[in-house]
Amino acid sequence: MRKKYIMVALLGVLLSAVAGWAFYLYNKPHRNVAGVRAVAEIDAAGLYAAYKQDETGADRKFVGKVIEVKGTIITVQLTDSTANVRLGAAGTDGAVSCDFLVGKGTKPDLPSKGSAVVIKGRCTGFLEDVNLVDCVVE
Amino acid sequence: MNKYIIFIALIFCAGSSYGQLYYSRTGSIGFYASTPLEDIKAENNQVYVLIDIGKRELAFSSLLKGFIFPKELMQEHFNENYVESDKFPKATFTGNFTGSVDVKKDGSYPVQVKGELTLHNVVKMVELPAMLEVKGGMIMATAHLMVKPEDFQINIPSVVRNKIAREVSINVNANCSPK
Repeated sequence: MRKKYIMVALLGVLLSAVAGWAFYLYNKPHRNVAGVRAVAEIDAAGLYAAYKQDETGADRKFVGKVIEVKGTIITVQLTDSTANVRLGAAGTDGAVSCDFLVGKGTKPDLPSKGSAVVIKGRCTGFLEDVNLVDCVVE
Repeated sequence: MNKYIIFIALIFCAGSSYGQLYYSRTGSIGFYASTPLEDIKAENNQVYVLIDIGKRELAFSSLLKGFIFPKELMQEHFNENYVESDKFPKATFTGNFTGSVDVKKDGSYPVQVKGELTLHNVVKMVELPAMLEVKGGMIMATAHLMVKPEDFQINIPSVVRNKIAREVSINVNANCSPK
């Protein structure tokens, strides 16, 4: 009889743990890539050139991946709800566009135009720029 | 794919209409759908927007993986189960607008936009009112439309279908500068 109670109690603990884990996963908030290891390091001009030469191939290599991109900031845009910097690709009018998460009442501390920086972010693909989201300055 | 070629062609036509072409690389598209449990919303702040005032043409393009949701799991479901962004990575719009806009005179100019929205490899004609606000040489474009996921062959499982709004509200905002 006692064994049965122990089994029921263990089952209850197990079910609670599974439910708790599922609840955590369901509600896990969107975060930036701080603490996520980058799978590649590349400079902005190299990344832009890779996309201009072969967008499909570059997508296979970079989309969805966290990468570190080195470059010089050519524009900074900060509003109440958006934060973006573009890393110039020398010799082109293209760039690597880096989008930062903006929380309620908190804005990321962005480097100024002209700064040489390394930005880590998750690549989403190519429009006129190569786009990264969830960025952080390394 | 044809719509994307038209979009690119519009970009390359920039030289022929200098002074009439406005663009933004950081336009925003936000969408919102209410459910009894919680609201589903996301925003993309890297939308490429192009407005040709002379030809009264308007286009925008966005990467679907660029939509940021408050919850990671929602974003994963959106990309993998609904819009299938690995197969169809971009949403594009190309169209024309009626109504006149004087870029030399600050003011708000309501226009009617009509064009083709491509999403999930489905092209659909949409018509919507928009506002082009000229201020200090820039154009702030705002538009709102309602979209039914089923119109773009985005299938929502029946077990959750009745819990999600039939139409998704979409807002477009872009502060465009001369190209």
